[in-house]
Amino acid sequence: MSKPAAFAPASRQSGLLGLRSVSLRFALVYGTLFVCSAVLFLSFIWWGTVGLLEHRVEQAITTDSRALFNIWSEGGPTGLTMIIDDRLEQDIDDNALYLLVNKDNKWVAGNLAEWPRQITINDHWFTMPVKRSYTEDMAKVRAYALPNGYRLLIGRDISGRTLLRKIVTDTLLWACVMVTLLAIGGGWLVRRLFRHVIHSISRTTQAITHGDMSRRMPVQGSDDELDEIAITINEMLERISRLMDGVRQVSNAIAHDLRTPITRARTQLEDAALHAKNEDELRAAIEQAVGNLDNVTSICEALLRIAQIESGARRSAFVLFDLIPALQDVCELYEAVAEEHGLRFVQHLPDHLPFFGDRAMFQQAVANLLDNAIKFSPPHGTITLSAKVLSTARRTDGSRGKRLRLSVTDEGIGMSEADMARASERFFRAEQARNTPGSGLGLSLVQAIVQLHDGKLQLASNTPGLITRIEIPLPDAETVPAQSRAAHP
Amino acid sequence: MPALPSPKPVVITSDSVAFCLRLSRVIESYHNGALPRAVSQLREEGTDLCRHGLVRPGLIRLRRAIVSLKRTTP
Repeated sequence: MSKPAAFAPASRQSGLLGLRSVSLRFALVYGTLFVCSAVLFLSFIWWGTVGLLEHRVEQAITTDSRALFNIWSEGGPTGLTMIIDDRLEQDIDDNALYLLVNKDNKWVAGNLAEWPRQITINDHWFTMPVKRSYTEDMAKVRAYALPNGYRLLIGRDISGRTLLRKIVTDTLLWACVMVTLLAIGGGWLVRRLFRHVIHSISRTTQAITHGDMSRRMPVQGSDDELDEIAITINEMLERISRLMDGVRQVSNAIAHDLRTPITRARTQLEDAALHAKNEDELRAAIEQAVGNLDNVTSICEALLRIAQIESGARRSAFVLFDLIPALQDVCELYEAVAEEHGLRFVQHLPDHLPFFGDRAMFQQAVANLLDNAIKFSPPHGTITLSAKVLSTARRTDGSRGKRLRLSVTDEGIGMSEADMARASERFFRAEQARNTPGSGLGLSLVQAIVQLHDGKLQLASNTPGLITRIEIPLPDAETVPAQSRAAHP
Repeated sequence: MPALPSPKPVVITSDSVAFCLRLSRVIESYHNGALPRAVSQLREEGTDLCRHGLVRPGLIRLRRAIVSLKRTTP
């Protein structure tokens, strides 16, 4: 008890600051980034305008000084005085400032009344106040030393530029304030949105944790990323629900389908133990019980096989082989069975069909389909097995490839649309097939095998009868692993 | 940039009526014959403005007159 109490103040403190909240951290990062980018951008504008103005003034004064130095070297103080007078007479911008003084600091030429006391160093930039008729302005000046103790001051009145600089600075400062306010507002909105999404996910997942599998994330319909997340989570929940329902159904079905033969076997053994008159009767009862228990074993084996196939572990046994001989082996077996049932068995198979997969497993799938077709066909009916190669399958990368379409068609009792939709579920048996022997796992096994081969299992009505269709993409030479090709050329 | 020890402003002598009149005299003495009409008009306007206390607009007109004279006179 003492430890949590000791940690409590620190935890509460960070809680008060709100920094434990992801949404607040997100909003702070957003706001900081926004303000930093804006300040950087506005600083660039400031230097680009105000800095440029300063630079242009300095450049004008420097250029002017070079020209006046040339005049001094040619005409001395007289020539320079004339040029300064000339420049002041033609200074339409009315911003030029000149002052030439002698070694005694006496005025020689220019438009400044006296040498500014504060300018004691040559070749340095100064900003100083100047007085006009009615106003006081600012000027940027630079002093130059001339031969014989003369000194020259060149400057520009920068009041206009100072005003512009103030306007630009004020505007940018206000822009900074506005941007900060926008960043705070944006951060608040981002935080709200983020919290809304997180809370929505949190509420839904909490409800699911408490067993309410019917809860779903709200979809706003704006088709944005948040909707995408909500749809994905909802799809995930749908799938989990379906899987849980499936597990529940399978558990019920296993319990039901295993109980019947076990109960039957128990009853037979009990009856034999109580009422068998001789050894033959006892033996017959034991054989019947063994038959029922074999049925239980076969159901368990089928379930394990489906689970193993669905786990994808069997893909390691995939090789490249010719499918036609494999199909012919199965046909040979079922031709005899069909004949026994008075059925006609027709095959439409190409000469060769290179296939990449598990040979034994695929034979098992085809055998299950033929077995079903024979079981549900009336006498004198026709069962057709056909395989053809289609070349219109579009792969995930957009390219077109080949695919195998294998169909088993019968003229039996068929299935309703609702039954077809559930036919591949484990232990599902259509109502009209209740009296036919079977465990309801045959098509589940076929479905698992087809999915392992990246294919699709489809059922369609043949009026009368059923068409069971398998479509599986056929391999290109480059998609088949090298060792599989080497082992089975 | 060094800080200025004293903020006492220095007077600009070219921003005065006396400088206006000086420019007016420069224009007058610049040409031996009659002044071009535009120059003469600028001079008159500039001098009038300076006399009425509008020194800077007056100076601008007088300076324009001088620039115009320099441009047209070889």
